Order: sequence, then C-alpha cells, then structure tokens
Amino acid sequence: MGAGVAGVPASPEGPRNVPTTGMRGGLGRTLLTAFLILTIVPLGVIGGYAIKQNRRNLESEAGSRLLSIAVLKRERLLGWFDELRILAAATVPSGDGQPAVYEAWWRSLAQAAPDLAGAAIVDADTAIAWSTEDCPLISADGRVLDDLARTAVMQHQATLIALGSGTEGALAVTAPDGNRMIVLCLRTAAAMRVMHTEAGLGATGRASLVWDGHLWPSGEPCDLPQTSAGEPPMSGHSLYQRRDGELVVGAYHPIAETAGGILVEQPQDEVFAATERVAATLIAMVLAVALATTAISAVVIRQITRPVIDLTESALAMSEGNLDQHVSVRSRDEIGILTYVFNEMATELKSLYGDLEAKVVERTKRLQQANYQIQRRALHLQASQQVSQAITSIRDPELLLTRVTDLIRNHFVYSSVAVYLIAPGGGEARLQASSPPIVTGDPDTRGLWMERCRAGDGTAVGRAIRRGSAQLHSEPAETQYGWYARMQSQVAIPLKMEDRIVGVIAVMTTTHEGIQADELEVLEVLANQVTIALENARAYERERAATEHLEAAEAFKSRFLSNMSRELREPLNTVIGFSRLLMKGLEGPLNPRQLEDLDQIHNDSQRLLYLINDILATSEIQAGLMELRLQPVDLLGLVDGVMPTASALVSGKEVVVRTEIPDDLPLVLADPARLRQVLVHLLTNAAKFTSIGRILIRAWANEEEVYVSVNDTGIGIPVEDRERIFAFFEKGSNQRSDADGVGLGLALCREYVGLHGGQMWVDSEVGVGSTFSFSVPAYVLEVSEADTSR
Amino acid sequence: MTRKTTAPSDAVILIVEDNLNNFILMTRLLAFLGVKKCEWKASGWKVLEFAETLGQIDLILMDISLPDADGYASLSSLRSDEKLGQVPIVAVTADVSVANLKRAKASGFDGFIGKPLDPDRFPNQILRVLQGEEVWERE
Repeated sequence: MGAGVAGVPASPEGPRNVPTTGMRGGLGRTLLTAFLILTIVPLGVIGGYAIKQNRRNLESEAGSRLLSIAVLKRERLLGWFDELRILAAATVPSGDGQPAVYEAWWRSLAQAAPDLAGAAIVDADTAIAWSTEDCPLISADGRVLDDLARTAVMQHQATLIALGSGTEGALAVTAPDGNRMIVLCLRTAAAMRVMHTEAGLGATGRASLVWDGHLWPSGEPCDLPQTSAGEPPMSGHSLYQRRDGELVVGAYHPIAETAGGILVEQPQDEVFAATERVAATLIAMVLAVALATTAISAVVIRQITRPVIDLTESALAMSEGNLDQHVSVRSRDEIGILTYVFNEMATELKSLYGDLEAKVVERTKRLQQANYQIQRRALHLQASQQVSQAITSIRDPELLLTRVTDLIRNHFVYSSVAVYLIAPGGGEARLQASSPPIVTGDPDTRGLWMERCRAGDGTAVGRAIRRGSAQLHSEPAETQYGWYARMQSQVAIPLKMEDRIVGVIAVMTTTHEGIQADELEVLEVLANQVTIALENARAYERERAATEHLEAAEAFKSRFLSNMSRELREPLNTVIGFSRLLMKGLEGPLNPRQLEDLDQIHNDSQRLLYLINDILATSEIQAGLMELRLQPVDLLGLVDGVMPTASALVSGKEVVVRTEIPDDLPLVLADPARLRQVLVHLLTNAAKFTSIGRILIRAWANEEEVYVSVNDTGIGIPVEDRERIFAFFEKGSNQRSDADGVGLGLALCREYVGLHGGQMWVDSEVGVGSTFSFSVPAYVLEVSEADTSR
Repeated sequence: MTRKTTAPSDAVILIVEDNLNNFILMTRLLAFLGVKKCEWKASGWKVLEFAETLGQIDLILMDISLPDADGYASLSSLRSDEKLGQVPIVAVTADVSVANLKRAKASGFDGFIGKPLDPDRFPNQILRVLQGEEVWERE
C-alpha cells in the first residue's frame, strides 16, 4: 500500500497516478485474511476442544480401567488367600498338638499347597507354639504382630500380616477352635504369578503389590496416585510422573485392613496414543480447509474487486473529463447496485454537463454581445474624447467647425457630417461646414446637404431646430443586393447654449444596424462639447479683437509719444543751438535788451525740452524700459551742484535756500543724473509755491538708507491732494492755472526713487509749508563691486 | 574699441543730415573745436553716390531719420563701402528713446548723440569721439 498511498496526493495538473495494484492487493489481502480467520479459528477452537475432551475421556477411561484391574487383582489375591486359609484351617490338628503332629500336618499341607514356604502356630497369648524352620515372619521372642493376628482370629479369615523387603510374605489364619492362629508364609514367586497373570495392561503397563509405600518384593519406594489426602491411601487413579521420570496413568486399590494395596500403572504415551492421531488428523484438516478457503477467496475477491476496479477506472476517466462512462452490471449484489447507481450518476452528470455547456455557450454569446456593445461604446467615447480634445484648442470658429465635421466623420466612420449655424434672426440654419466639403459642380457632393434649413421644413435638421432635441431617422438603404441589407441613418443634434439653439450637427451614414440610441447619446454629449468649444472660440475671437484693439491703441500711444518727442526735438535743435550761439556773441555783439530777449527764448526752449524729456521718460517708465546707471554718489556734492540752480529759481523772491547736511553722510548707490533731476524738481516745485520764507535741504542716514528732504514755507498741500500729486498728468487742485508743468514732475520723481529702491512721501500743512522726502539705498562696498560690473 | 586719435584741426567730418540748418549749426559749433573742414550730404544714398568725390573722412555724424534710406540702412551700406567702411559713424538723432539707443548700439554705430544738441557740450562730445572715446549720450 505504501506506493499507493504515496501516489494519492498527486498534483492536480500532473498525470494522475492511479493506484490500482495497491487497491487490488489491499482489498484482496484484507478479504483473504478475513476469510482465513473465519475458517481456521473456529476449526482450530473446535479441534482443540475435541482433542482436549478426547484426552480427558481417555484419561478417565484408562483410570477406571486400571482401577478395575487393581480391584480384580486384589480379589484374586484375596481369593488365593482364602484357598490357603481354608486349606490350612481344615487340616490343622485340634487341641494342643505335639510338634510331630504339626510336622505331619505341615508336610501334608505343603504337598497340597506348594505356594507356601512355611507355617507357624501361635497361641492365644501370642506365643509361638510351633513353626517351620524357614518362616521368616516369626520374631525372635516368638511373637507375631498381635493386633493383626488377633483381628484375623476374630474374623475367621486370612489376613495378610506382613510383606517385608526381600522377605517372604506372611498370612495370618485363625484356627477353627479360635484359640490359635496359623501363620502361613507365602512364596514370592507364587504371589507374583497371581499378580501378573491376566494383566490386561497392554504392552507396557504393569501391576504391583505395594506394602507401606514400597514395591513388593523389590522394596523400592514408589509414588501412589494422588487420590486424596490422608493415610492410608484410598482407592483411586490419576496422572503423574513416576520417580524414574516416566509420565504414567496410575490406579491404586488398598487391601482392606492391611498396609498393602495394588498399584496399576500404564505410560501416558500408550494411553494417549489415540489422541495424537486425532490431533494430526485435525491439523491436516485445518491446512486443507485453509487451502480451500484461499482458493475460494481468490475467486470471490476477484468477483468483488473487479467491478470495484472497473468503477474506479470509470470514475477516474470521468474526473479527467470523459463523461461517456458505462460500467456493465455483473451481479445483483450491492456492487451491482453501486454500479447501477454509478451509471445513473454518470448519465445524470453527462446530461447536466450537456446543459451546462449549452448554458455556457448561451452566456458566452450574450457576453460577446455585451462586450461588443461595450467596445463599441468605448470606441465612441474615445472618439468623442479625441474630438473634444482636438477641438478645444481651435480658436477660429470657422476652422473649428470644419475640423469638427472632419473629426466626427473620421472617428465615428460616418459617410458625411455637417454643421449648420442658426443665422441672425433665428429663422433659418445655414450650412457652415461639412465633411466631405461641398464642392460646387462635384456630382458626388451636390445635394448631399441643403444650403439652408428652416425650422419644421421636414428635414432632420429642421425638426431638431423646432423640437430642440436630437433627431434620429433610419430607413433601409436602397441596394441592388438583397442580402446586403443596410440601414441609412440621419441624425440631427441641436447645439444648445443654455436654452438657445445656436446650430445643428447633422450626420448621415449607412451601416448594417443603423445608428443606435447609445451612439446618439455619445453624439449628444459631443454636441455639447462642440457648443462649448464654439462659444469659447467665439468668445476668444471677441477677446482677441478687443485685445488687438487695445494693443493697437497702446502701440499708437507709444508711437505717438515717441514720434512727438522726436518731431518736437528736431526744431528745438536749431532754436536752442542758434540762440545759444547768439548769446555767446559769436554772431556779433548784442545790446542788453536783445540779450534779455534771447535769454527768454533760450530758457523757454530749455523748459520745453525738459517737458519733452519728461514725456519721453514717462512713456519709457510705463513701458518698463527705463534703466539706471547706478554708481556711488556723494549726495553732499550733488546738493552743492544744484545750489546755483536753486538760487536762480528763487531770485527775485524773499526766499533763502539753506542746507543741513552732515559731513559724514554716507555715499548712496544711485544714477546721479536721475537723482539730480529729482532734487532739481523738488527745489523747482518748492520755489514755485513759496513766495516768502526759506527752502531747507536736509539729509540724514541710518545703516541702510540715506534720506533727503526739501522743506519749504509755501502754500502747503491739502490732504486730499497729497496722493494725487504723485500721479501722472495730475496737479494739485489749488495750483494756479498759470502754473507751468503738465503734472509729470512729481510722478516721475517718485518713479525714479522707486527705481532706486527708495520711497518718496510728503508732509504738509496748508499755509505753513510742505516737506517732500525720499530715501535712497546707502552705498555698501560689496554691492558696488557687483554693480559696477554691470 | 580703440581708434586712432585725430586732432580737431586736421579732422574732416562728414555730416549726413537732411536739414541744412542743422548742418550749419553743427559746423558752427565744431568751429569752436577748431574743425576746419566739414562735408555735407543730405542722405546716405548721396554719400555713396559721391563717395569717390570725397577726400579723407575722419568721422561721420549721421542723422537716423533720413529720406530715401534711413540711418540704419545707410550705415550698413557705408560699412560695406571700400573707402568709408572703416570710418567711425556716430548717430545724431532726435529719437532719444532707450529702444533707439539700443538699436543703434546693436546695429554697429560707434556712438550716439541726442538732439537737440547741447551747444555747450557738443564740441566736447565730438572732441572725445575724435580722441577715440565712445560717446553714448541721449541728452
């Protein structure tokens, strides 16, 4: 079975290891063992019991037989004794005879009874009255065993009185007168003859006379059969081992009122010879039965296992998928029933499997259909997504719609796709784009799509506009082949923006099954995307137009400022140049009046130039083009440099210009020209609005920044104007209308300071004065090296 | 860029300028410097046309807004001219915008002086140019 067991847990995908031999051997061995046990054990038990019973019977029978032989021997011995007693008693002389009388009596008695070896006459007082010479039983004082003799006298019978070792036996006989006892000495040989004749003891059995535990006449000690406890030994028989080692069956019968008895023994071998024959016969019989059982079992087992193996093989074949199994029914027993049931099961299974297969086929078919639907839908969705993606980036509405028609036609594989847009007024839709495009004069595209559709004119497009929902119309296509049945479908889907219909997407195609509802849904979703894309494109278009307009305006402004600056500078060139030449007297001497006029011309033309410069600077700052040339600047020197200008500005007024600048003021990092411009402008401003008092220029510093302020005692600036004055083209509201400037100065100053990384602010009190302050970064050595390399 | 230094008294300066008055002004101002000889051409095209008739030229002052071809077109023409190709050319223009200055630098002008000219500074600017210094001044 070992191999079979090891083969059972075979891997499911591997070839199946069928343990047929193992199973056959197993079942056969089991059944054979069972059969053998069933036959041999009862037979053995019965046989054993029979042998034991037989042996017991034989033992009992042999014991009884031996006992009866013993009894018989005793009777014969006693009979012999009686003969001798009667003979002796009849012939014994009466009264106290003389020894001669007794001699004569003995001679006649010895003639009559040759078995006697001697005799003695014992008185009543147990003295020996007379005896033969060789009577060994007479004691030296002439007395015999008186108790026995007395008993024998009283009972008038012969009694064995002594059987000594190597001695003759003696027999006590009471004389008829009662006063004497006759003792007869027996010959051993005679006694043995009586014992051995007609023994009936088989070949090896023997009978012996036992006296007081010893065999007579040899005198050897011997064992008696264990009949019962106690002395003297009782009559009985048993099995025992003799002193010489032989197992025997023995029987003992005592001789009454004496210490003697008869022992009969026979060896057990002889007694039980019959039993051994029976046993041999029985063993032979058991072997024969076992052989027969094995043979019969083999046949029976084969009868049982063969259908089982057939069933097993069929079951295995079934498990391997071969459901077409039938096992022939060989018998009408349980195995037959099992086979029948197995066949039923196989048939049932086959039919179930058949059903299952049919179901699987049906399910598979449905699954395939579902898969087809899903794939189709996935394709549609993918196409829809691709179209959506492709069109979202198109900004031109016309291009967008052309692309939409192309993309839908290509991705969904339609014969033709068109987009109609609702014309202004909403009455009709005009063909905007189509794929393939309608080419005038091309017979293939002519009449494919109508140029115009109206709501409710009967076309799909018209219905879609009127109902505001997708329209699907399918009809069998005309074909010359009957088997090639196809459906021609027309779809019109409104493009709806909120509740407003802006157009219609129309589709025309011819397929086997026509356009399905799910496809229509996809197209509707796509239509929404198209609408959104269209609206986006239109919005973008509007936005772009607006931006373009704005950009154009901006460019115009920039160009205008640049041109204006250039065109104004050109004539100033000669105005400034020649007036300066005149002032220098190079064209001849001028009188003071001429010089004054010329100075006016020159100053105003300079102011005009500054104005133009401010305008240009403004446009450049606004365009982010202004660049600073930063370098370390000594503010003290810069202020000193503008002082003449400042003085000139206040000339003719009761105004003094003073400075309060510490000598150790750090350098600042700045564009000196711009910084100077800021300073000059602030001074100009201060001078402009201050008619009396002073203008104070102060400067101070902390670690990072240097601060400069220009304080005046002018008219001051109202709170509401303090921020406005820094805006381009703005002036303080209280400024006199004749005050010059176009409102660029402070704005430019603040821009310049801001470009430096500083700040500008104003503190003022109307009627008291104003203080304009600004900060610029202090010059730090490391920074300068990095910056000068620019 | 180091150029040879020319003394103002020896220098011959060609002024390309469509406005005669500007030429006269510049000539007068240059006279302060000691420049004796100034040539005048109204356009770059005319410079090329009469290049053969021109003698030694040490510096060209060129307006950018010119008829026919503007200053930039004229500049590239002059640069490819055999005779005048190596002469320093300084732009003198009323378009003093940052953009124009950058363009002038990028196009290969050797200097830039904005209009209106400052009569007090102009002689010195030209002197520096003649001494080989680069002058890029918008105002």
